[in-house]
Amino acid sequence: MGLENTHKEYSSYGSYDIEEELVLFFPSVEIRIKRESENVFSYLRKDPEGNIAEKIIPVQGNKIKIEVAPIRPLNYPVRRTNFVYLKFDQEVYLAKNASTTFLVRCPVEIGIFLIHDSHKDSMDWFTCDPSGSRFGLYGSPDTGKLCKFFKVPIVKTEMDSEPFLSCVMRLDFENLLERGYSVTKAIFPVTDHFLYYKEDRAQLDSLKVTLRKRMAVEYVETAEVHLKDMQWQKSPSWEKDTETPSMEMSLE
Amino acid sequence: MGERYRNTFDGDEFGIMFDEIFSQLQSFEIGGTEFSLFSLIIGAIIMLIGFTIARIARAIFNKYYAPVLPEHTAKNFGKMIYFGIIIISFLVFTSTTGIDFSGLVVAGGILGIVIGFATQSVVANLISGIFLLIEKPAKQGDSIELPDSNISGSFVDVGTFSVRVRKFDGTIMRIPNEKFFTSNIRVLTDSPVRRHEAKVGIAYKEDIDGAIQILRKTISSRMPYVLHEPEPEFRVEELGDSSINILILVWHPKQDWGKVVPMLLKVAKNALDDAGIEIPFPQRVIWKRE
Repeated sequence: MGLENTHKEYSSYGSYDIEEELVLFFPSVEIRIKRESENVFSYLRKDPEGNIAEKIIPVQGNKIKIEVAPIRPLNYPVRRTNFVYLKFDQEVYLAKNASTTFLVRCPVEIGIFLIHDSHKDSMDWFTCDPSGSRFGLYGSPDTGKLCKFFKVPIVKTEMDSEPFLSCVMRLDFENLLERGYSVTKAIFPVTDHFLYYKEDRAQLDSLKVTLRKRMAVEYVETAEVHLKDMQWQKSPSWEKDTETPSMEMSLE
Repeated sequence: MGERYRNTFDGDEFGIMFDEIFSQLQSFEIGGTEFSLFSLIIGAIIMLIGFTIARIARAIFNKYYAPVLPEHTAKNFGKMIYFGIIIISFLVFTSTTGIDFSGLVVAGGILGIVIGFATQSVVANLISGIFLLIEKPAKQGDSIELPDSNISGSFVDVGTFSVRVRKFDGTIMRIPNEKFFTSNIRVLTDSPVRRHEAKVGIAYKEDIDGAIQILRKTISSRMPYVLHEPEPEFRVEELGDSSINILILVWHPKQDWGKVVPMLLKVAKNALDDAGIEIPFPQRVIWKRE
């Protein structure tokens, strides 16, 4: 998307007070919020597909406050699932009784939240990379799980997310099986995970994955681990959060 | 005049007449069973209370429990609660009034046979409706197709005698339970995903792999509802009279049939046109003998 050349021109995640006009630039997306009259602001967004979204925002005071934050990549092209299917660009081999930690990129969408009386209302969302947001099926067509599907690279640090396009997620793997295993994908309910941002970078709660064997059945146990680094600002949730303490999946 | 007036409304006569009428009403006989007015009043009160309790119970169920249940289950439970209470009320009513059904059994049996013949289809629909409620071939809101009847639409509900299907043009189709029960039913939205197939032909002179690559790339970039896992599949289906026919198989979320099927051939044709790949029409080569 030619991010490297124009990266410095983009806006940042965070809160904005608007008294007269604010223009925000993101990769291929432009947002303009402007005062129309004493208690009315207008909102306009142009997205990469040439669509224009317009809203009128009546306000009580003489200014409005918004927050721009990364949100879970579940809404484009339409909301159908809470699950994300990350297919790694490289296999990760876990030897018997081995554990490892690695980081992967996970795409994000961007949410615009209207802040009033300490509430953060979901006002608008968009994606800067619609061509990268697709569906995938985990399992068989009759009993499988529909997921948002992304092919993702393995990265080195938490700051390796692409601004406004992706976040970084840490995966802690532990193999308690009697044999080595190649891991190629991660499927999990992303609504259990929160996003965090710092300037234009984003991070997702990490996932703890344990490969176990119960009787004769090998399975994967997963649980999310919330980020505790205070330097990262927690994103408001666009959609309702779920509470799934752990999840089991079969091994392929 | 005053005398007649006095005679007509003589208190004793009036009282005697009232007693006679009341005593006649107090107990009377139907089919060998004696009823009293008092027991009938009690029975009516019981039925009235039964109807009231049934309505209240259904209202409470609809308000507090139905929202957390699937729509069709909630509807059936609501009916069961309502009619269950009414049946119980009726049984209490019959026991208090002392109605003896033993006499009705023989008469009812004969009447049943007569009614059974006369209303065969009605009974068949009723019984089929019960079996449909037990079997549940589709859930409320499922897209279904009855290939034999050429009916497709959204499943609305199973009624006492008929099933209602909302066709995709918005109209409601009423199908007798018996016919629905014995039909082949194709449920289109039972799985999370569906597959769609489309066929395109390319000229014999064209590169098959190149055409498939272009189709794959274009579908991937322009059709966000097409699943990337499983990936779109391309099969050379036939070396036809005029073209090499390629079958395109794509998966999509079950709800998004309308976002994929009408688009797929258009996207495929535009992709081949943009790449300069010929889509031939049926043609015949005529050789003229010298």
